[in-house]
Amino acid sequence: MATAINTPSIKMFPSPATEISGKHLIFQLGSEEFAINVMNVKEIMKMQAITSVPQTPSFVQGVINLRGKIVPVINLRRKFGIEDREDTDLTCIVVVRMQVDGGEQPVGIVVDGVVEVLTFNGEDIEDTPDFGLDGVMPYVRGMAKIKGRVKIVLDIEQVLRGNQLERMVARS
Amino acid sequence: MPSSVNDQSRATAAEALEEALNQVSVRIMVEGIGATVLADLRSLGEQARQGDCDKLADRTAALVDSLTNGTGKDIEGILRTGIDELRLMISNEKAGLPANAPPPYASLGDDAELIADFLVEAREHLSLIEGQLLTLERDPGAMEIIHAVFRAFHTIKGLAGFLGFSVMQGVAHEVETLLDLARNEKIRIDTPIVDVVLASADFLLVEMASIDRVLGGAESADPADSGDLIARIRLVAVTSQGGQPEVAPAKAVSVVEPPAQPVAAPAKAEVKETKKAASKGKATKKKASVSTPAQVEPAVVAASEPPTPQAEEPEDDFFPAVPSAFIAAPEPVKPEPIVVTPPPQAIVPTAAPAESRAAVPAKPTEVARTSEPAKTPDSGSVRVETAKLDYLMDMVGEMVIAQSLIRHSHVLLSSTDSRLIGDLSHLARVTAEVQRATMSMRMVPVANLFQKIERVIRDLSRKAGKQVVLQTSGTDTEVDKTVAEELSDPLLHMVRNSVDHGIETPEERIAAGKPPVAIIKLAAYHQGGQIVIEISDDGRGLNAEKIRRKAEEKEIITPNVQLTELEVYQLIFAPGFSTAEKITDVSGRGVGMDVVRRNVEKLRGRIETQSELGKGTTFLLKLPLTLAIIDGLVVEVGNNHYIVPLSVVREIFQPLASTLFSVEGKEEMVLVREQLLPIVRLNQRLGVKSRIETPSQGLLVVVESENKLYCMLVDDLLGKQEVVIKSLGETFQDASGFSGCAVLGDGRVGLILDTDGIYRGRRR
Repeated sequence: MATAINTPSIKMFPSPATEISGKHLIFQLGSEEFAINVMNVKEIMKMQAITSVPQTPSFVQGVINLRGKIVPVINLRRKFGIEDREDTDLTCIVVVRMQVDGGEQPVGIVVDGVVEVLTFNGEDIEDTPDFGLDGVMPYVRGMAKIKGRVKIVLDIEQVLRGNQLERMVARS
Repeated sequence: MPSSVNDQSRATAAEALEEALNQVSVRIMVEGIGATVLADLRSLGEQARQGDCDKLADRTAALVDSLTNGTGKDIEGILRTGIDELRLMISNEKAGLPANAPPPYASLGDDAELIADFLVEAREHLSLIEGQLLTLERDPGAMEIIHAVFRAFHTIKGLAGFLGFSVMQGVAHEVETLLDLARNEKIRIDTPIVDVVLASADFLLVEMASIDRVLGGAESADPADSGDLIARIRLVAVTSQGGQPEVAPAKAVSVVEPPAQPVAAPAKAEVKETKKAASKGKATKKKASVSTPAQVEPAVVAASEPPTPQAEEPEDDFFPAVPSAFIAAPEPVKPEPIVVTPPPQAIVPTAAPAESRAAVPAKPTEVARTSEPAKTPDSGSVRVETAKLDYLMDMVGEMVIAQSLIRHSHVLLSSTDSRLIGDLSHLARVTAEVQRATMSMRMVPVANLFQKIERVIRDLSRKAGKQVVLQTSGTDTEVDKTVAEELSDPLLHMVRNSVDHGIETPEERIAAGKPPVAIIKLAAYHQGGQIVIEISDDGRGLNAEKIRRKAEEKEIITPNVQLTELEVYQLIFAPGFSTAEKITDVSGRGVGMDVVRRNVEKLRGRIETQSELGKGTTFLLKLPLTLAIIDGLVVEVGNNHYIVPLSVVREIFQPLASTLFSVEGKEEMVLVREQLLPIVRLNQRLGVKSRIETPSQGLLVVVESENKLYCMLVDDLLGKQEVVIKSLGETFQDASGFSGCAVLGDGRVGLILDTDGIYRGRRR
């Protein structure tokens, strides 16, 4: 987990929990459930052959062909330090939009399964608890408690942006 | 533009100067030419110097000089033309005042869209104009083309006026006036007219570029000064109209002399012209000097302007050695172009008429050819954003893949329904046709590319004092738009080199028993799925000995290396190589050809050189039909499929264990036909698992990278496939060893290997 936490120089505090509301896509990864805003989701695809690109970080699983567009695919399990496991029928690729210079770049993330779409209200959300680590996890926006279960609300853009930063650190 | 205070003082100075000049000319009229004139002129020069009009002062001094030294010559003529010239400079000085200065291009935001449209349209017009003018130069009577050029300038003028670009409007207006004369058959199109119209087109392009910069966010840009250009256009208009009788003898002179002379010894030619022009100056002047100077401006301009365009035109700076001579020669501009860019009738009577004539018949057909494609864009076309086309290409690519997946589906293959099978094959045909049609949308004929070169050859040959005609063929051959764009620079460079180094001066050519007029041929054709662009000249050819020596000198090769002739020729494409004894502003800095090679290789093309000493050189640029698609070799390493561009693959073989060697236990080499080639194990280089242990179990793909051969070890070969290239995107921009990716037949993504990058990074 520690590898995923970014360098101290990056002061990306999670936005206040009150901002988290609206429809969220809930997906499963290992034993945890994560939520991302549906506005960030472009589409959900069933798992398909991913072409791996050598000499890239392990969490970059490769590229796929999305109707003629080449889309990089990130393996969130590896990204979050969760052990690999065999793909199942439920394994799928969530294609999210990511803002880059000069437009939108779709990025695929491999998740264990998509659970449901939930509408969050402000009172469902709690701030990220302090895990005692130096610095906060920049991509966790908060925790949503719904039906007695906790879902980790992700800022998916931050998750993916983290890649590039780490990549640069790894290179230098 | 200088500060306003300065301008103000210059304005006053200019007016005072005009007054003084008037006095001088009146005195000459009344008293004839005496010693007082010189004194007057000297004080005028002084006055000009104080008034900050240095150019004017210099000119006056030069005039005084030539008057004092020019005893025995036509003093009167020199004086008159000199004075007229001064008058023109003064009026130019006045014209450039801040009061008349056009507003700078700034805050274009309001009309940004309109302006952008205007720029696109005007550029289109201008690019058409260029080709049409060159055609017109060879066929001055082509009314249709005159009309077309006229209309183009008319449109530009209208639009520029509407958008408030007064400078552009002014220039377009002058050109329009000039062309109107031609349209009404009052003047005949000749080289000076073509020159000046081309210069105007260039001027407009430069202006549009600065408008573009403002649109693109630059603060503001000042419109360039069009005064000189406008004066030049007016001059051409007047001389062509009234000067018809003068022009004819001028032509006669150049025909009698060997055509090379005027450039080599301009002073001589010019002196001959002086008298004629002077007498012409006299004729006009008589009328002019009676009335007040302000009114007679056009007439004065007519008599006096010839030297001005030359003095102020930077592109005419190939006359620097004769400053005093050209003052005295009012019409050098005229005879000189006629000779250097020879219209057929001017060359025929000169040396080697037979060969010259042989070159002539080729022209009319070219005229027809180049003018035709120029017209086509008007015939009901739609402008589409390239992004949309690219998207369409993507989608069609997907459709083709989907179609092939369906076709190879087991269920359908075992189907016996003849109706279904028929429908499927119909679908296949239609899909292929749609793909073909989509591809063709990105294709443009090379005609436009060649046209640009024609213009360059025209300008360059004149600058270099060489006589060159361009012959083109296959101008309707189509290439991908991107290829055409990327090819423009390298092609220009090669043609420049041909004119500069390849082609001899007319004297040298005659001495070598060749016709004085050199021929550069540009041809485009298809050959084996490639586009070949052939550039050949009949110049001196490549001197293998000389190239070799030079390369050794520059330490590009080690002495006594065994090289074939072709390998020696390839050396001219090495970085830092240049055989030219002197560096001209055209070429010779040795940065040219290696850039050419790199650009061509970037387009996945190759250059082949053929040359015969004394006979000429031919370069063959072999390029892929399109950049969007490559022929790829699909190879397998472990479970991964990679694509190697077929254009770099030289051979593929399975090595015998006995031909494998290792150097110091790590560098592996293989012996191929007496040649040791390094082996790069692709699995190690890319860090993937391989199924094989030793090279003899797999296959070696010999590829060419940066002029060297090396082998890539792969597990297996899966076949050849045409693939549509796609970028890997920013996420993987530093994944070294890959130049992109492509969607394979089964819908999966295959990575395209960057063979240069793989070789460079092999030691990691």
